[in-house]
Amino acid sequence: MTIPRCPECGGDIAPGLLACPACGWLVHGAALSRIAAEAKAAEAAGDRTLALSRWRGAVDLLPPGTVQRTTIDARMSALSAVIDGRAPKEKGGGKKAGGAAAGAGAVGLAVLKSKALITLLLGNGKLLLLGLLKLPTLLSMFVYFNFTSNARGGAVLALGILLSIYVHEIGHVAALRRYGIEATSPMFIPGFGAVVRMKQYPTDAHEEARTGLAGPLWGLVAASIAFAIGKAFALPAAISVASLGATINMFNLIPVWQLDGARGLKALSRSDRGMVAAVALASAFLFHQWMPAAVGGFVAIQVFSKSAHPTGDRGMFLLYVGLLVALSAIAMLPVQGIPGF
Amino acid sequence: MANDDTDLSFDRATYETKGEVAGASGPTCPSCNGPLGDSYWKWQQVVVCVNCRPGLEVALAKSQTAAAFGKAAALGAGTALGLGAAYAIFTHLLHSSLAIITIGIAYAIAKVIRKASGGVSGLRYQILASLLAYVAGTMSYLGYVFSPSQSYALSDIVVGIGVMLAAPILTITKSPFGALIVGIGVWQAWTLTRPIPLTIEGPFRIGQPAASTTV
Repeated sequence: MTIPRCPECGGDIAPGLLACPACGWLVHGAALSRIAAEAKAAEAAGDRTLALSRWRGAVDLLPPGTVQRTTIDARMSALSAVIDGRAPKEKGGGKKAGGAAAGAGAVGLAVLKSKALITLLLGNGKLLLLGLLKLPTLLSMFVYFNFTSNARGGAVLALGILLSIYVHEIGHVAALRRYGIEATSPMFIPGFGAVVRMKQYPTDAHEEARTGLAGPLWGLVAASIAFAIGKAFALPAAISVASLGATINMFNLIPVWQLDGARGLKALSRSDRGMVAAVALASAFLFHQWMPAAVGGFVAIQVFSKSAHPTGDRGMFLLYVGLLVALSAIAMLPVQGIPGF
Repeated sequence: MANDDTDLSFDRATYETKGEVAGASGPTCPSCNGPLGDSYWKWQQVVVCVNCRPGLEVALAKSQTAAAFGKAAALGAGTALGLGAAYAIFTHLLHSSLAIITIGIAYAIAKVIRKASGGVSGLRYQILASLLAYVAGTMSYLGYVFSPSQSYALSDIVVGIGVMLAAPILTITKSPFGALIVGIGVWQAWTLTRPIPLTIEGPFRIGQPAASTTV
């Protein structure tokens, strides 16, 4: 086997190393320069998601502990904070709509916001449809549906649960895409649910929490829509799907192992965690549900954990609490009108 | 050198702890901070000098001893039996099972075994983790095999445990879910204890760095 030589000092660079141990020459220096240029161009054009995606690619090509890597990590955190609104948009890189809104007044702002909402809905709708075009996802959904419809409840329940889980997973995909994180399409596992595997990792606890709680948030929207349909058309099956969907999403909020709640909890401080636990236990009492109590119990255990975030994240705290209350309320709905229940 | 925080140079790696370009004071061993000398060895992404190499070899060899395997087996079995028993009680009381718990138990077993092996693992550890994950997964069938209100002779207990272990296969036509979930748990345990190669590559020749610049 031919051992690569360092063009700077002539020494051997063992396969797999990212820098020459003798002189520090970076093996992927040319690629890193190109990636950095692409990332800066994307930032200048206002496309922070693309910039973040490019910087992520650079991190994997740099040895840990280098100034270059630390600087890029900091840049990624800053971009991430702008994307999700934790930090103000930086000068010179913002989209033109921001400048236009400043001068348009209240009415203009409302029009722009509704346009943004429509764009968001269309974009998310497109993502929901695109996911169905992935053959592995479609095949696994078919297998999942067949397995589940043979169980108690039949085809209607199986389809409802399938769609509920699908929307939940697409929520994760949408959030990951927003931060430029590559991920697989959802894969359904009968008896378990579905998984989306990340090909890259979130930059920090804030990103992790947002991508983690995006699933239950979308799941809440799906459950709400099912409830609205059930109420509007007097369909007990749709109400049941709403209830079961809410229960499944509530289960995901339990902060253990790799469940979404564990990822969401990473951005919360000790006091945030204490309040979440209190709200969870109150929800369990108010809505007569055991699942929120399980969430509250596991959150309470982690109040004094070393993993508590030093400063917390107000947005994620409010989202966690909101999800607990809303999902608990919907999960109270009766499961009926389905054979076997 | 830099006009803004991302106007970086990607010619050479710059390390914060030294505050200077790598190799400015001569190449050093990341393990002992001593000079690398004329050659170095590599294991995974770890670079070591000729003095640190024997210590690394000893540490890697330790992970493959009978004592290390015994420790992993004891801790893994304890985890499997403890969590499996808790899950058996859960399924018996609530008359339902949750697939994610089976998989979570397999995950915990694999983590414990991997840690006990020093993070290195190996084929023996993979087989051990998979077997224990299977046993723990089948413990959810305990409530269907034994009744808490009855007493059993030793021979009945042995037969019952045999039925419990065979349950996913025996019930596959009626309840394929059970076998599938136990199978996923076993697969999870197998992949999480995937071995890391023990080979230390080298020696590799150290070059002569040019005159350095300080950042």
